[in-house]
Amino acid sequence: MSLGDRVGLERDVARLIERITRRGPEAGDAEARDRILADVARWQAEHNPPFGRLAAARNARFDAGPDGWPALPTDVFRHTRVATFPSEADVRVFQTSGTTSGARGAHPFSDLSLYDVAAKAAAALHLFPGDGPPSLVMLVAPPDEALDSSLSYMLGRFVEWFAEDVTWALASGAPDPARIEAAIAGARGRPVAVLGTSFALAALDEALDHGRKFPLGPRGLVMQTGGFKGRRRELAPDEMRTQLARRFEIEPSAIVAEYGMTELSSQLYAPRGSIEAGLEAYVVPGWVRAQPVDPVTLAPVPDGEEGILRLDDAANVGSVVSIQTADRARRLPDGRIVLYGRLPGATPRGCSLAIEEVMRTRT
Amino acid sequence: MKAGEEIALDPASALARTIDRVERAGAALRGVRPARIDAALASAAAMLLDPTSPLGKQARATIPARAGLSSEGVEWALETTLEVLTPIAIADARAALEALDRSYVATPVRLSGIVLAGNVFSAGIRPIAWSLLCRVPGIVKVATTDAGLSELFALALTIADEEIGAAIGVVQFSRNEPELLDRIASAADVLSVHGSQQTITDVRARAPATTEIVTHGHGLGAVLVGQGALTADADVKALVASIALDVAAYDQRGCLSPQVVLVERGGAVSARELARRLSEDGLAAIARTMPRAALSTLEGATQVRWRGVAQALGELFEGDGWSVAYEADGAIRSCPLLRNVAVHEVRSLDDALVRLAHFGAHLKVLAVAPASLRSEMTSQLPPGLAPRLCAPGRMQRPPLEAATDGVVPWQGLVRLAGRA
Repeated sequence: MSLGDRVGLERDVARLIERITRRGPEAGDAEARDRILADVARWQAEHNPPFGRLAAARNARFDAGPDGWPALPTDVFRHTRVATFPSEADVRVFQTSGTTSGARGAHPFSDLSLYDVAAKAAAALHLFPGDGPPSLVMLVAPPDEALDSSLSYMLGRFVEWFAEDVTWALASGAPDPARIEAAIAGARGRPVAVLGTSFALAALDEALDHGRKFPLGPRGLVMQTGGFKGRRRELAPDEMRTQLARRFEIEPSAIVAEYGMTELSSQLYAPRGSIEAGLEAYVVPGWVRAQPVDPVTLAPVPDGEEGILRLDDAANVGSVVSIQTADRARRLPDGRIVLYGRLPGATPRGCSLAIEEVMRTRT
Repeated sequence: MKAGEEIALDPASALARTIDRVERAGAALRGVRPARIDAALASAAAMLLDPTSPLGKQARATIPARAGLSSEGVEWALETTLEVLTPIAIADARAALEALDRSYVATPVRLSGIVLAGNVFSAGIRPIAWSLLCRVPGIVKVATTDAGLSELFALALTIADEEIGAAIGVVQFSRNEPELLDRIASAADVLSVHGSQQTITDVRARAPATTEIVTHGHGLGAVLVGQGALTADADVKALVASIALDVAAYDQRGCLSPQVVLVERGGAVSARELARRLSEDGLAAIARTMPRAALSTLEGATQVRWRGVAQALGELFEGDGWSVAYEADGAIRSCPLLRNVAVHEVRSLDDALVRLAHFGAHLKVLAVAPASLRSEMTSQLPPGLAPRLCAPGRMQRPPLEAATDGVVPWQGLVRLAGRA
């Protein structure tokens, strides 16, 4: 591995992020971003074997803009190592949660500094935009109890970057209302931010009487992330927002949605009030390209049309810069992204049994 | 109620009448000479095989759209399904059945029920044929999405021999009417259930304890190629054509379709080269004579995703309507079917058996080449693994008397008593 190349690329990406952050939440420089994306992708094709094979098979052209090279399907993270460095250099390996298909995806890191730069910048722009240090209540496992969770890691870093104090409010995997109440009382008027998975927030709501409230104060906010995988009942986004606003006595506009993936280093946020037809509209940070593509041809679809989301994250220097998700998405004319859930795998009509189904029934 | 008539106004009464009619026809069936049953089966099959006969025409006009296969794919499936009902093939099956009589007194049960899923259009032919071969009248429940072949076969039987045809009643109702299925399960001595694990679980839970349940769940096939099959070029060429046929049949959606090809390391042709030739020679050729049906957007998207992963993990050889992934000795993963198959290299036959053992009872058929290895495999299969062993190219063409899902085809249709 050419360490010098990687260090140089990471420095370029960090500078881009810094420049964008300085200029504000709407800032972007697509040309500069795409130039860096191309540099990183070209380098990764030589140092990341799965991406190199995919790029060669698809006749990648790194001088033709991001549409000139392929994006690695997220499924690949479940089947092989996706990294530009050997496993001995790993300092952290984030893993996806268990899925219906069994194996968990893994995203190794040899250095988390660029991840930190990207995560801090996106959160500073869209989650905590200059409101002063809040008191944080976390509805996820703390980082030392969930070493393989990128969400726990990121929220743990938030404490250091943005907060005065924190309460980790999960007890045996379930939200503990008493801890939340104690955290709010202890904040003594400072804004309180509750950050957690949609799953945990819904579980909290279901477990409590309607009358029990957690007033977060005038500058309080809730950050929710993730879906409802495995839950008995899914909630529509606006239903979820209404419930959260009532429970925490905040305006629905004080609810921020986060879209992150284990396979990425950057996050998208739907900041206060960024709603489109009842759904969160996510702002794409200037160092990330979010492009819905046709699910069959993988060609970009025009703005306004639904496709599956391709993400090019410049901060993913250590693994792969271009990720093909199966998340259905639409890009609005202003560049924000609206998500519509995951494109299911087709079940061809017939009596053939999928291999992963076989493995599941036998374990 | 006639065969194929839909249950409409009073489904429960209509079903009861059908069961009653079929049971009465059963009394006559039990008195019929076996040769007459055999002749009726052969005649009905011949009618459907003949594209100029009214029923043959109807089958070809209606089934392709309903079955989701190309017309060439349906034709192939019709020919290979009905080829087991030629007089010679029936005689072989009859001989296997009569061999029972040397050790036991085999007595037919009163009534069989055959529950078919709507997924593979030809699945009803064998269970209907075996019910009649055993002189057992049968109620055939087809799914609402059924393509109609069972119905046409029952009609052909009636045309061939009215008395024998009357012993088969085809009924159609939705899975949302379980009480109707309960009636069949209560009336029948044996229920042959084809469908998903969920369907089988549901039927088992509702059936009376006295009804024997013979299950035919979803499953998969695999191909094992030993070094010995990879020497002469002519052999490799034939092998590639045969595996391609197994993959292309039913667009790989059948429970006898191969999802993976395991190739023993060390042959004159490498696993990677076999994968390339399977794509460029085998599947490309068969796409011209028996094209794949059009894919839905979802199927296309699933296929694209799988192919992308294949390109990242190994090498992909693809064409318009098929692909072969070469993934060396990587873990076997699900393929999207629809003529997308994976080739893996195995260090040894023991390595292959370890990999196949994971499939357990779900592995329904294992094509093995060369023939000598097939004989060897018969005694080496690990416990719990009971696939039908066959030559490549024969995965979807089991003989009529072949065991299916580890049981003989007359399972539950006859009761055995010891000879005095």
